[in-house]
Amino acid sequence: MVGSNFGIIYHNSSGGGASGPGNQSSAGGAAGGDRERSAPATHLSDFMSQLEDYTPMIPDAVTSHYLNSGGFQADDKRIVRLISIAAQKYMSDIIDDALQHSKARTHMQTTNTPGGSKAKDRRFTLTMEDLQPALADYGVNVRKMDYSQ
Amino acid sequence: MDKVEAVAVPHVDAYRRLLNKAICQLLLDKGAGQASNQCLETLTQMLQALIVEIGNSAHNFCELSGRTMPTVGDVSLALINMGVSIGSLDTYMRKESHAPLTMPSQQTQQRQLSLLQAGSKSAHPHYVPSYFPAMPDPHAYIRTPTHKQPVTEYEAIREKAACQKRDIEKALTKFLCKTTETNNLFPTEDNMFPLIACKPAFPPYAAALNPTDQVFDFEELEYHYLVANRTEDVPSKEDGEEGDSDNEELEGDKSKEEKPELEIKPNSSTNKAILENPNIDNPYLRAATLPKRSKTGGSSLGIMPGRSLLTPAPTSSPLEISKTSA
Repeated sequence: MVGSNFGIIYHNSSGGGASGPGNQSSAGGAAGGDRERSAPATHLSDFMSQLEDYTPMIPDAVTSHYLNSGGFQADDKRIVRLISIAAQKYMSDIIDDALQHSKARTHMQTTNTPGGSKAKDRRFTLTMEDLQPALADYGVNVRKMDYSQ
Repeated sequence: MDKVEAVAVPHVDAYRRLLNKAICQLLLDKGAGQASNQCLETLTQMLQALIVEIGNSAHNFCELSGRTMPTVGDVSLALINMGVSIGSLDTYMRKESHAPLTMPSQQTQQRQLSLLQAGSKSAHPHYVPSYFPAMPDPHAYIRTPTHKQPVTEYEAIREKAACQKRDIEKALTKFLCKTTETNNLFPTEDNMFPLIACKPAFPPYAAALNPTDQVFDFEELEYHYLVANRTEDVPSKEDGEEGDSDNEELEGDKSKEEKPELEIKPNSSTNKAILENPNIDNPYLRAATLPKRSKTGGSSLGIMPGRSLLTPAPTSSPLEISKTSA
């Protein structure tokens, strides 16, 4: 159907790529696989189908409020959810990286202590020491306060 | 009573708090039990800034295409422009399943004010939109006069004052007729036209010359009477003789009272009277006494009776009022 892809036509040469209607059917049919190469197309179709069921963590009202403050007025709730998922994923990636640093540090600490039989604490504590290099990879330079609580 | 439905937000931003909660939930899901405050605030600020930036950027892309309603394409362009990968969104969505955060309930803080409300607030006039705050309590701006303006004309007031004065006098005379002694002009039995009996004191200036305090107790009058009567007929008049020229409700004889007031003289009988009547304790009611030019060294008169009363020697020194040595 013409209107199902919002009228956006992709002319990518990858396997799933075709004109609009064909794109939609092939994207709908294919399950995992070449998602990354045909990312925009699959993204749009997934967006349509799944976002109506899935509620992201950040409530719609909060996201709408902050989008409005930036000048973005969305009447379609799915767009708002898309944005909130994107933001959530972004933060999730940062937290993952920061916790990787933290895990690496605790792992180093436990291996450095000879015969240390104390169990690694399951719960990590996220500190600025871990967050700062993680953010630096993303291009966000955070200055840590030297004597902070 | 109107129930106000506005949410009273204190100085904490509710939206910000929810973003904070989202970050905390993400951290918990990743296995971080604790996080420093600075980290939390940094991440919350980043999340807020990210959402605002995506919105702004998408809006700009939308306007760039000559539209006003943003579409998915604008949003995806904005995400791509910021470097957020879109393809992995799908896998992320499938993999992670987070329960949405609960929104905080609406807080009704206006309930406390209803206790202080007197009366019911009136509704908005038709020209006032409904989103305006409610009208205040009716007593705050509605005034109903409860009485007419009093008359301030000079003539009316003078007339009123004159009427009042006449009424007062009339009422007072009626009261006195009923309570005090009355004389009858006509020899009839019924007291149709009573006259308030006039009881002149003789001499008339006696009351003015002998000021006394207000009489609270008639028994105390006896002391005064005893002080005044310093002659030998004091014991016979001790009982039941009450009367004071200051007293409005007379029951005693005025004539008897005249004598003691005329016979005040300092002499030995004075001392005897004082000594024989030991109940006088008010020094100002006691009569003037002559000081003793006494052989008993310095024992003054007017000591509390019961002590050295036996002072037979008369004195002729000048008058001296002495206090008790109590």
